[in-house]
Amino acid sequence: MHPDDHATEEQLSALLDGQLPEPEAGAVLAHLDGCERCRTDLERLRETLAMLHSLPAVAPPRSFRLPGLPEQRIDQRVSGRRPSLLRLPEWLAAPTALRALAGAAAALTLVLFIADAALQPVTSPRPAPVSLSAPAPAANDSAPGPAAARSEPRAAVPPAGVPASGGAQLSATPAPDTAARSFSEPPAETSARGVPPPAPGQPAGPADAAARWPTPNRLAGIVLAAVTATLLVMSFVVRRTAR
Amino acid sequence: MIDEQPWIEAAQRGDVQAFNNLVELHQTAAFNVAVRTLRNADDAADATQEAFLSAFRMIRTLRGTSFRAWLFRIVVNACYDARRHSSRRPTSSIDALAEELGELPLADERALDPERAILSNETRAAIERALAALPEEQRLAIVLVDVQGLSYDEAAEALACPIGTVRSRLARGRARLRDELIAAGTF
Repeated sequence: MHPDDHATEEQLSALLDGQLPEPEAGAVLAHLDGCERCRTDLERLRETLAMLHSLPAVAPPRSFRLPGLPEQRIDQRVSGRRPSLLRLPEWLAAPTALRALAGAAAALTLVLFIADAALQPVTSPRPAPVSLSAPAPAANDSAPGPAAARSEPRAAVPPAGVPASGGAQLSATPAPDTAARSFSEPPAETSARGVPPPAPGQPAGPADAAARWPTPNRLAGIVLAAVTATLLVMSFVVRRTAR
Repeated sequence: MIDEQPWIEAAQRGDVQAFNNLVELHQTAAFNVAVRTLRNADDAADATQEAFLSAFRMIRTLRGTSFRAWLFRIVVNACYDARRHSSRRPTSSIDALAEELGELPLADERALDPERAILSNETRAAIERALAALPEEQRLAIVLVDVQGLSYDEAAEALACPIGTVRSRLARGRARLRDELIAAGTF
């Protein structure tokens, strides 16, 4: 700062607060020594601050203490949240967190289905989308390992302990096996009956069973789609109850 | 200076009574920030209550910063929320506001700070008028730093802006306030 330049308002204001850094503060003080006008400005500013500091506080019209209820009830009152069946950890209870999880699950579903579809033309001549509902006409002897892993005929083995509505569970880690089976179990078993279950890891199962039973990829995709839908529904429920 | 840290820690464990000690300590300042932001005593009281409820709900997120800076940020946000949702108009004319503030009873805090000068009602009304005429961001900086006594750091946190911004808002607001007071013949 040139000694003849007047001090700026910001310099004077910061100087009064001791917030002007050193080389600048010294220059401003040197200028003030020889400049009546800046000294007057500074003095008026100082008086203004003194008045502001002395401005009396108005009394609040009432006390803002929180009512002395037990903690949990206060917590509900504070957040305006009704007691809900969905008791989620706090970080998860936000609709955004649930929606983010749903998005991740949806993305994973998509990746699974794309990967699955990309593998189909190589391993099997039949179209991928219909394989869940329609028995495939063509044999599929060269299907790779995953197709066989779940292809044992389950009509011969009655399902024990498989929940009727596996997809509705809210727990974080759905068991892909049980949940997906209950989703995709066909009403009647015909063609696969009587075929002995393949040993684990055996590359190809019976052709019609492989066609009827979705691959693990698709099972996982179905489970993930269910998880996506559940999370989305929960995010709306949570938002509604949080209001 | 009261050590409020034990109350903060107890409140973080869910102790409402400990939190109410903090409320007692800061409610006058919080309400004064709110009333000078909203310029309406009823809205300011509602916003202050909302702010304390939010503060209790969020107090677990408070880490190592100044409690009052953190609280004032919540108060300022509650004021903005209240303004968005309120059907009440801010007290429209500046004179009416100064009058309204003039009619509110004063908090008994003179004993806390013997350096405070006793202002005449006239001077007080002139200052309130000049404050009310400032752009909001300048007024808030002045209310927090010059009236409530926050440091630049605390004001920057309360206003969610850099320190340099606090400094320039203060400078412009103070200069304008000084000129208004000169024009009003207060000096």
